Amino acid sequence: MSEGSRSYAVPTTLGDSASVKWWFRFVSSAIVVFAAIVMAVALMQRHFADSRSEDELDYISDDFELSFDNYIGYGLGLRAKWIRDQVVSATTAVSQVRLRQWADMFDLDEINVVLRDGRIAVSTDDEVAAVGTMLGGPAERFMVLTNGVDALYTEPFRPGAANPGCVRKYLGVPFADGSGYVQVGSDIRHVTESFRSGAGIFMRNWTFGQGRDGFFLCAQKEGDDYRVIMSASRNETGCWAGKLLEADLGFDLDGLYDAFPPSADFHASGVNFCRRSLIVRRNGSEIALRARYIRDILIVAVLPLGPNRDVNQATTVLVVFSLLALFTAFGFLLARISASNRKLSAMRDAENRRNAEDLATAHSIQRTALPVIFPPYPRDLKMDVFARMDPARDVGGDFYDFYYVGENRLAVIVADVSGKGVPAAMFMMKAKTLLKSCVLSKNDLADAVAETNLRLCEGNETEMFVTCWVGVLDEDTGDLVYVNAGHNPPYVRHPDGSLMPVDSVSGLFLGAMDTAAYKVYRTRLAPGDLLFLYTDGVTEANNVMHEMFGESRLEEVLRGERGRGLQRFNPLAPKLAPPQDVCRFVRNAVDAFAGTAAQFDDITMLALRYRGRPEVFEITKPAATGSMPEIAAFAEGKLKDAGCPQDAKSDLLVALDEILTNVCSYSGSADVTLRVELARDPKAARFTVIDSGSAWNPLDHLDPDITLSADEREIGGLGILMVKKLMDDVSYCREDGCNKFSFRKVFG
Amino acid sequence: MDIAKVQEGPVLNIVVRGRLETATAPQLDAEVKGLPAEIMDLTFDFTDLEYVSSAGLRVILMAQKAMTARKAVFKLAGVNATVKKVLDLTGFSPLLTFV
Repeated sequence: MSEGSRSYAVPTTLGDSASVKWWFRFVSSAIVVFAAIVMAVALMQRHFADSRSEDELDYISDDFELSFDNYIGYGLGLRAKWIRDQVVSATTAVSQVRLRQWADMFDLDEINVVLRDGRIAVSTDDEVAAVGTMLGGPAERFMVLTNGVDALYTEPFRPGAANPGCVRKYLGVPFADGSGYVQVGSDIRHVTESFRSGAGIFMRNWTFGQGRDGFFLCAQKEGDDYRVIMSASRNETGCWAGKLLEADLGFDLDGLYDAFPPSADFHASGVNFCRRSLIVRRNGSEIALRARYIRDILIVAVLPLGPNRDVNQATTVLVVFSLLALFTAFGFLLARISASNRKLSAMRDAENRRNAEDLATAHSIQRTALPVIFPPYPRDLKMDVFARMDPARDVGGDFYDFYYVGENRLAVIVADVSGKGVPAAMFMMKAKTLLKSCVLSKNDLADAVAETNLRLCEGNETEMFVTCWVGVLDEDTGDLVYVNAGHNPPYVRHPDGSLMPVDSVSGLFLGAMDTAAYKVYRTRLAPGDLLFLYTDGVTEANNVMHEMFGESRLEEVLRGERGRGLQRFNPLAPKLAPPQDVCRFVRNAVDAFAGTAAQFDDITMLALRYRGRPEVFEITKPAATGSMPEIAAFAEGKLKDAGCPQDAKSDLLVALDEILTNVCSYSGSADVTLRVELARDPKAARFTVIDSGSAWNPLDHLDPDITLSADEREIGGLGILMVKKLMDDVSYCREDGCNKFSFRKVFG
Repeated sequence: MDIAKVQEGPVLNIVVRGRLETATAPQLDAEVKGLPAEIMDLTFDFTDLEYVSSAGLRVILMAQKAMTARKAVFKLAGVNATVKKVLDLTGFSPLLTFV
């Protein structure tokens, strides 16, 4: 193996490309997941923070409204009490004029003295007096003041039932003697004055939670604008610092007014506790706003959202870092697992590659070792041989071989090497080569096999063995000598389909013991017999149920009794099948038997059909047309003896006539010889016409144009055309100064 | 090979028995060359003819040409499979009339 052909670098470091790719993929997906989680967390946090801020705003605004109402009520209450103390009792006769004086003095819009039964004793308002009773109206609730408890009762600003344009707040205080109560009412228009005067004190109490940057501001409508009355925020020391909204938030009141348009009936009702909430983005920070309109006063509570969000950001950061740590740890863990996985699979791949290479080497050794060109000796009429070796997946080491030992003697070998893989393939080469050289060099087949065994035993450290069967066939006589070294014996199949196992006592397989002895056996093949050699891959082929193909099935195939196609064509019956077909039938039968089971051993077969040496007859006559009848008669007689049918005989005699005519007319030869060879398997006749005239190959010349009309036709060359078409094969050679033209026809 | 002739006025029937090959073709050739002028209808009866070689083809061709020249009829009768095969593969069949 050359350097570099087997360097399987196993990636273990972070630097190799597979690792980098893995890291890249992991990190990018981790970043995506991480970012998604962080974003989700941040969004949720902000949502909760903003909700908190808005809730806070709502709470403070509601609280403000309530407190404002209380503040107004406080003022009202003071005045109401003074009036009560003056009147002393509901039964006291006090005049409307007096009440009106007091109303003027205190900037009250209504004063009622109500008896405990609900009747109105006196009122500043004539219409109210005309109604005469509190009962049955919205003010009925004030009757609670008659239950004897010394507490005031008030209700918030409300549009009047009779006069909706008038928004008034009422407050009642009971008389000490339980005779009734005093009720005062004040219009909303007074609110703004009291608000202005009291706002500073009032707003001082308003703060947001400690640390917040929120604040209130008040603005009063002037013309089309709102002018800031004041704004207040509280720092840690509790003093309010007046800041203008513009300076603080960076936008003007016009914008604010646009953001908080009052309802349509603003001017009609005079008050609009409009509750508006808004989140506004200014200069990169977001603020929430709540607005209250009290008549023409706008009170805005402002709360930047940032601080609340900041608190929650801490949580977000915590989450972020936790995730980061988690992902990192996870990432390292995965990297370790992945790296070791890759190491393992790389090792496995390396192993597979090595195995595949071994297998390929073994296969190629096998392939190149065995002769695969068929038919190997096409001109040899005396026999026909075909062999095939189908390797198993794990290469075994079967081989076959055939070669001529002497002019008419053909050696045929089949062998089976133990073991698998490259060692088996190499041992197979060695055994095959050794055997051939021994068979070719030794006269006696047993000696040849013994010598082969000896040399195989030498230096056989791997302890491989080979079984083999060697036979040498004399093509002229049909004699077969053979030696068996531990191999399964072959079959001879006769033309009638009967089988004969080729018996012998088997010697020991080769490569085991150098003292092993071998014996030659003899038999004889008749023309038409087929010698079938095989290895145990055939008979030991398994199906899925672990049954073996076996000898009996093989025998059935060889007899023509088994197998698809065999029944249909019956080709192994009297019309003899060529060796290639016999091998194919056996292979097909094995495949059909094995089904889906895998082939675990090499399947090797060699089939040799012995045709027999043809009978040869010769006649020589002077090369003249006068001799032709006699030569023809001679040929005809031999054909008749061979049982040649009439049509084939005529064709042969026509061809003979043509060739002889040529020779006798044109060759200039003194004599002409006809050789007749009669083969028995298949029944065929070969005529060879030999003359010693000038060299002339009839096959060199072009065929005449047979499509010409009668006038245009010429006869020359027709004879050769006829010979070529009537005969199965024609050939010419020039040998020993003679023309030898040969043609053959099969007739049986 | 033996030849028998039967003539009826301008119709001549030549029966050829045996083989029409190099050795025997000259016999038939002579008959064709010596054909009487009045013959306007010539038939070669090959019923008992085994086979024909190229020498025989030559004679048949000559006969066809001669009969065509005198605008006469020339037929082959009783041709067997072997003879027909040769006539087919040498491209003679289209030129001849078979009965």
